[in-house]
Amino acid sequence: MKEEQRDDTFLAAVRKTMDQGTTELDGVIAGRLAQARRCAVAQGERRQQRRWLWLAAPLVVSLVTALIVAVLFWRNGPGVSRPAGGEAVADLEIITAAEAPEFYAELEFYQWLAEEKRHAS
Amino acid sequence: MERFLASVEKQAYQLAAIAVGNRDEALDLVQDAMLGLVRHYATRSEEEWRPLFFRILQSRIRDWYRRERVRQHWRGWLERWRGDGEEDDDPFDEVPAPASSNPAHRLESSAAMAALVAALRRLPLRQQQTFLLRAWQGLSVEETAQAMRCTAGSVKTHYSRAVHVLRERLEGHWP
Repeated sequence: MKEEQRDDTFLAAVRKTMDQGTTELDGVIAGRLAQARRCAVAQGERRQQRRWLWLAAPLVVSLVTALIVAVLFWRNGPGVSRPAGGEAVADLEIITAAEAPEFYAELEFYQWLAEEKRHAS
Repeated sequence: MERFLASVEKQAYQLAAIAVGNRDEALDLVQDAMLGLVRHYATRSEEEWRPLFFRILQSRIRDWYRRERVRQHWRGWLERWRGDGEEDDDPFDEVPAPASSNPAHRLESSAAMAALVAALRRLPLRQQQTFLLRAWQGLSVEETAQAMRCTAGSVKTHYSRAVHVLRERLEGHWP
């Protein structure tokens, strides 16, 4: 117990001396420490801003993409008249056929001509 | 964060100055520790900052000792290479020695402080820093172990040896 008390007294004296030494640090050191602290804090703030930028960038890209998709959907939405499924297939056949497009333009005439020939024979 | 750093910067400087014995080096180490804390742990809770800060500082002090060992090795090699008896100016003479007898300038403003610093500087680094973190900074055994990167058992051993040795050495100056 006595030994413990001696230790406590000794440690209290150490703490007091160290605290005193800390408060008596010269102004140059205190100034340089304050400068180092401000520099560290400023760097931390810059990092924080950059982090927000990196976090916000994907969000902005997602929003813009969603907006573009919404606009495209709205412009080509159900309210807008589009060729029906059958007509679209017929158009595709015309486009991909070997005959010239003029042939299809005159198709009704060729059909009439074929009918006339059949009646005549 | 700034408030926290302001509250520990002077103690951190004292710890570093006693460890490395050079005020400029000590200031650099404290600045590095501040930057490390801000860079990696700014988002952690405030209660965690103190042990983390001292852990970073201890890590920087250990790194400094490793670099210093290499520097001393080269210094010794250069001296041998120059040969005996040459008294020309050595550029390394301008580099402050790590075990300088005048380590913390103003820190030794009183006789008691001077005796304490001298006794602390004679301790092995681990004992010295463990003692200061536990006895002066009031870190718990676990926090000190975390800062020193060792086990709680070895913190207790280092601390107990340091108290014993310091009391012996400071008998004339202390209660």
